[in-house]
Amino acid sequence: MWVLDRPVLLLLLSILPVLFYLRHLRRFRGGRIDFPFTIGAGMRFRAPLTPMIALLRLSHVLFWGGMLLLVIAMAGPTRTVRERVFLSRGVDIMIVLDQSATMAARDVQPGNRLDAARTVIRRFIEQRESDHIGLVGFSREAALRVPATLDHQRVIDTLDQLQLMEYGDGTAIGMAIALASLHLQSQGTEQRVIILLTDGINNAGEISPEAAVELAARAGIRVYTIGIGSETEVEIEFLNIEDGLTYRGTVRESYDPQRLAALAERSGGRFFEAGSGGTLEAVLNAIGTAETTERRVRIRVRRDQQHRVLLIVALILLVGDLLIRRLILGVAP
Amino acid sequence: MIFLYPEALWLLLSLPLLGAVVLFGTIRARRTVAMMVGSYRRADVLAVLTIKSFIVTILQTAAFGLLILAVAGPRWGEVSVEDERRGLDLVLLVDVSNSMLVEDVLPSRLGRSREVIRAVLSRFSDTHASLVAFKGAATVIVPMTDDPIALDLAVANLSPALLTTAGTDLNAALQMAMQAFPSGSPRHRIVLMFSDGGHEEGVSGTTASMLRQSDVPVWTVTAGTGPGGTIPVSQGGVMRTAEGDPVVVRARPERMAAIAEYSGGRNYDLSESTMVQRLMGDLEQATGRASMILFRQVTQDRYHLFVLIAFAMMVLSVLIQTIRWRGVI
Repeated sequence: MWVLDRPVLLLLLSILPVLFYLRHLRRFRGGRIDFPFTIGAGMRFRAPLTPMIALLRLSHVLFWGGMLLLVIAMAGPTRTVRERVFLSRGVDIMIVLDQSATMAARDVQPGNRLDAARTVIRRFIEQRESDHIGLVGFSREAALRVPATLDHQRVIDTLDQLQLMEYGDGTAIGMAIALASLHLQSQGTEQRVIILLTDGINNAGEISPEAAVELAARAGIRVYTIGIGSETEVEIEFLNIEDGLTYRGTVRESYDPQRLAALAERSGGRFFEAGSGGTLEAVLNAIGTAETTERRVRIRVRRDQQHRVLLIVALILLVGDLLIRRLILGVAP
Repeated sequence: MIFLYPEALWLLLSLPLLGAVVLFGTIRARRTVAMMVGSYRRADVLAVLTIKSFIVTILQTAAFGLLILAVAGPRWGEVSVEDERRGLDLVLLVDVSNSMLVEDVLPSRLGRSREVIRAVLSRFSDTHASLVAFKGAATVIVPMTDDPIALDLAVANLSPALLTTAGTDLNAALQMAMQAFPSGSPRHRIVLMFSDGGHEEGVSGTTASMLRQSDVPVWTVTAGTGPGGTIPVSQGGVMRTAEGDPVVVRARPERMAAIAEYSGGRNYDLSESTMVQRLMGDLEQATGRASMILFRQVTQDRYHLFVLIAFAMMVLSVLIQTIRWRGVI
């Protein structure tokens, strides 16, 4: 939105028509010498449009354009941008995403399980404006990809960069939950949540999922577990980044719903099954609805003053007028 | 009075040229008028023309001078504005070029920077911080977070090996640092920059302009000393030029001071023994931890006064030109 800092100065625009009249229209104006060129009654001599006359008219345009811009610049044109500032801290959410090879199974659309999760998580993040969101990726090992932050674009960018089997072949659910809860424990907020998305059973890592959830529960962190995929045999295709080869085939691997449900229940969270992209979105929406806080928002107005560009243009126009009239045309003041 | 864009003041040097153009035009006009006006009016017309030319020349030249001053962004006078921001979003902008391995500050420029960063993060534990490393390019290592473990790990891993692009691009670094602040935060924003000032080009006009317009101050910490030192290499010995001479890298405190000045920040010397205490004290003051109600001083923009006077002079010059004097011209 555009505003003026000193709108009253726009009244100076009223001077310009008077000046225009005095300079160009008044019959007995100064700065010129009259010669009688009257030929007959009602007929007057009119100078042809020579390049010099055209230049003179151009100089008039430059001068009045420059004067107009000076007045507008004085009035202080400012572009304002309204920004929402969150006075209260929302929920701290650590998304823990399985990157094991089976996440390439094509039973969840669009693409495969990982792509579907990425798409839905991206939409989820975009809706959580005031929440600090972080990302942990895991397969045989777990790694903090982004600590809990309000810089959601960086989380989304990192999410897009995740690759299958980045941390080896396996599913270290316990390690991932432990890592996520470690990074959430130090946060200065009451509401802390881990959202685990996995399609397999824990088969790697030194920490069992139960021990990790116990750790999280003691710190007051709720763990939501989401099982992705179906139990049927499904087509799979993925690029193994270790040997650079593409693997195709079928896979029949599923998560352990009882165990995931027990993990969620132990920490006060919930377990969800997501057999399709639509279900997965519904699940995240349900978690989003459950994990809400009172938001105190203030609107901060950022002001970008724009007068400088107008002043520079005005200066160029007025100097242009001066150069044309004095240097080229030799007009008397 | 300070000028936000002092480089625009160089344009004042063009004023004599403009004055010469007006004078040249006046001489031509006098010659033309002398040819065209009959001898019985010539003396009167030329006399009026001379006076008008003199006054108009002065008015227009002065108006252009004032407009140039206005473009330079004159500011003076401060008003106190209550600051509703509390807490701190701190971007730690750290130079990880090879020159930061010089040991003229113990244990090294980078090592000492790490120590200071850890001290700040430990003292301001409720601070949200982001870590941006730069060499010939800049990258966000940790986005704005209050996760002390992630920050501590990232600070420990700061080394020239983090980035492969050679050199020290201060412009890319400062632009990346400004982008590291997420929107929606109600806290103060400060960039704390650790660098020796680089050995290539300094800060460009575009970056200087960006720093002036931004409301984020850059507090610079100059890592290194005037005499400088050699760069140790991992195989032992020091880095040498193709001719076999040891590479000596000196700090550029003037560049770091300029960056702080453009943005309204402060400058510190990493080799000073009291530097950490001063930095902590200043951070407490700036972020309102030292007082319950915080006011900040905002310098007033006064360009419009210069434009107003310039506009009045242009109007007056038009009036002088258009009002016929002594009934002759």
